[in-house]
Amino acid sequence: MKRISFIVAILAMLCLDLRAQLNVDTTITLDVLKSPVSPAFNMLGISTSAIERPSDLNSFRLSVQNATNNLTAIPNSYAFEIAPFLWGAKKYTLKDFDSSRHAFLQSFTISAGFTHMGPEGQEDVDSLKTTKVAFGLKFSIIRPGWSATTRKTYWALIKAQEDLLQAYQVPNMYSDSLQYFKDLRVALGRDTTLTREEKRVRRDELIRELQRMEGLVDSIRQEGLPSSEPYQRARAIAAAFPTERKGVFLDFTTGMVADFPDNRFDNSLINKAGAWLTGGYENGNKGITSMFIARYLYHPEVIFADPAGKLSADHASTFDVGARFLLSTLNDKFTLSGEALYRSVIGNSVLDPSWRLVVSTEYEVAKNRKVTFSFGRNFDGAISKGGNLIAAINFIAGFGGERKLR
Amino acid sequence: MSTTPLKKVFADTTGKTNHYDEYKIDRNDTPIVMNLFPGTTGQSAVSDVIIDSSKKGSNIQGAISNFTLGTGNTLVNRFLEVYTIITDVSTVTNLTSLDFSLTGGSMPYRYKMERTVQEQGDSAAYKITIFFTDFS
Repeated sequence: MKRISFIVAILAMLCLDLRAQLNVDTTITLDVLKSPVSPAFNMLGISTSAIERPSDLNSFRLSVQNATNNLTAIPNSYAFEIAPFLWGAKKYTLKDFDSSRHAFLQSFTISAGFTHMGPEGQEDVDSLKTTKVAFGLKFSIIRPGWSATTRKTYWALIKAQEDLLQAYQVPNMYSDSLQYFKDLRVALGRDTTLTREEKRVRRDELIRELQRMEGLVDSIRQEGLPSSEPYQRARAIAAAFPTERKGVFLDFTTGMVADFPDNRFDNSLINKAGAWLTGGYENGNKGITSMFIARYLYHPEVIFADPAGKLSADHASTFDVGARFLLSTLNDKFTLSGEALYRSVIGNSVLDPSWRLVVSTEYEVAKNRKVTFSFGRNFDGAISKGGNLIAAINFIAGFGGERKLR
Repeated sequence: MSTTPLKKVFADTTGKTNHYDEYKIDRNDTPIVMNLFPGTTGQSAVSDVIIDSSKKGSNIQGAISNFTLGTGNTLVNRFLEVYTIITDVSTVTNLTSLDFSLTGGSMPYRYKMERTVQEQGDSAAYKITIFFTDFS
């Protein structure tokens, strides 16, 4: 037992030593460039829970009425996010979302909001209150279709709906009576003996009977549906419907905040602005997945190219670009990933643009045994690879159980 | 076998799902065209279109656009039945709706129904019955 412990300790020390030689930061930092879900509100400082998301014109009207106390008061803040093209007469059923055809109209989102309050901690002090207005847009330029998993789930849902449709049409105790009145209605339509007035009176009576009988037949049918097997099957599928996509995508997001420092609409200045272009190939972390982000920010919270804070963020414009790819193959045994980041401050001579590159690869030679290799160049130009290729190879072995290394 | 009491069915959901009406057409060769838009956006729908017990369309997914049912000559004194199942997939709303319209008769015809289902994933069953008549 002592011998095994000793061997494990020695091997662990060796692994630590190899780790120390390999001084490459493989942390994926592309996330810092990602566009926020609601850029306008992030810049304005409104929490996501306070954003109204009306799904149609009526609910939008109600939301405004509530916020303004029936149009009698101006709230301290109000924010909404709407998809105007989904409010129109054109309706998109679920299957219309499985293509790029309607991508722009379906994804187009407008967000807007305003705040009228004082600085933090003094929000309700009237003399310090200023007005800020935010506006944002989001839309997909290219949107991939559903993944095979989502499509399979869709067809399972359709099958359940088809079975439910059949169950809904099963005759019941009132069906014969309904058919009797339908036959009478057809006979009346063909009748040539009654006068026009007699026909009109008889028709009106039959319409009332048919409406009543249709209602009775339907009520019995509706009663049985929720407990039926296809209904429950459709419910289980629809309640957890996954919307995964696979293919090339390209999204655009922008937002800006205007400040009205003396609360006059003829005196405004752009306080903050940003634009994000995100594209790549989405593949559900299998095969090749890639993504790039180009970001422009005006007056950012933090200048990405200036972590030391040498520059003032006031009136600064930054442009950052990042790209990442991931190749996973041989049943996930071999993965190759890379990331590149470029960051710059536009129109500034104090800070030069800088870039970072990381490439890492990993191969699982056996259960709990992985060979990894990483190469990196940091923003400051320092290349980290441990001196030579052999030293850069890192062998990780797990002992004990069969739990997969991560 | 457990059944859901009628009272509970109506308590769980709101809105009408059944409709009967008559549509005035002329005995001629003008095509009678139907449009059916199940909603709301993001919901999944399947429909059957039946004329006098004979299926004109079976298990049609999503919207039905410019569906020619026949001509005035062939449809007079006949019944159109449209059965639709709409399942709530959208996470934005539990509202389902059906927007039905006919053209080719003496006047365009349109009827809309809505039902809010109780829970995510629930389904609403709709039926529209139309009798084509040349009598006014």
